[in-house]
Amino acid sequence: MTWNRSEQTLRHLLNEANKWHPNIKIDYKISKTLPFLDVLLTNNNGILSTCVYHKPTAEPYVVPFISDHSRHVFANIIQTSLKRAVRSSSTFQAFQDEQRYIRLMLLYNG
Amino acid sequence: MNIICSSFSYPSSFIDQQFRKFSLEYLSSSSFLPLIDNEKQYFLLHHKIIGQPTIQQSQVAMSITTATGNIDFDQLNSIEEMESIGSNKKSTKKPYGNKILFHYTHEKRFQSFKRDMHTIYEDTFKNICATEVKIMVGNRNRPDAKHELIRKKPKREILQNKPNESKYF
Repeated sequence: MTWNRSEQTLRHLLNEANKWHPNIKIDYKISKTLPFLDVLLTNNNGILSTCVYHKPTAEPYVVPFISDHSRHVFANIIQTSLKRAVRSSSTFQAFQDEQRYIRLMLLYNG
Repeated sequence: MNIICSSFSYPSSFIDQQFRKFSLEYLSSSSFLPLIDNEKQYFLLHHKIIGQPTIQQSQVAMSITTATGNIDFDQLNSIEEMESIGSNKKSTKKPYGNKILFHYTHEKRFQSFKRDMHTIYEDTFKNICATEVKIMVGNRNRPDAKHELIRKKPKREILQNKPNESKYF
C-alpha cells in the first residue's frame, strides 16, 4: 500500500490492527523499494516502477548446458526468463538491466 | 570483465539466437534489426505479454473446469462435513429446483449411508422451513475399483462365480 501521511501514524494504525485478532498478525516493511512476490516495487518521488526481484540468497543458476535434458529445455529457460522480465519490468531501462542479468546468469552459470 | 566459460555455461551464440527468437516472436518483423532497442517497441511488447494469461492462471482455469462436476471425495467421509457441503449446495445449485444432490464414493462399509443422510437431514432441518427441499443421495463407483474391473483385465479368480463348494456334502 502507499501512504501519504506521516510514517508515525501509519505505524500506529498497523500496531492497532495487530491487536484485532490474536491469530492474525500483520508483518510490515516501510521503505522506498519493496519486494512483493517476484516483483521489486520502487517509489521514485511518486512514480511507481517495477522490476524483477532477485532474492539476495538465491544464486543465479540454471540447468547446466551440458546436462542431459532434452534440448528444448535450454531454449525454454531463456524464453521464460525473458518473458518474465517483460512481464515484471515497467520501464525499458529495467528490462534492459534484466536482459543483461539473464545473459550474465547464462554465461557465468556453474 | 573477463568471463570464465566453464562447460556449464551457455554458448553465447545460443543465447543470442534465443534472444532474437524471443523478440521476433512478439514483434512485427517490420523492424530491420530484430532486437528490442527502443522504448516504444518495449511498451508494445510489454502490453502484448501482460495481456496473455500466465501458466499458473491457465492451469487454475483448467483445474476449475475439470473439478466443477466432482465433489472432493476426501471430504465426504465425515458426515459433519457432508452437511456443510449440503448447505453450500442449497445456495448454489439452482437448476435442480428444490433438490439437493449429494454424491459419495461407494464402499461396502457405507451401506447404510443413504439412509443415514436422510435421517440426519431431517433431524437438523426439521425446525427450519426447508421442508419442501428434497434431498437426494447418489453414489458413484470408486475410481480404483472401476479401473480394476473395467480398464484392466481382472484376475481370473475375481471374475469367476464360485459355487459354494462342499457345503452340503
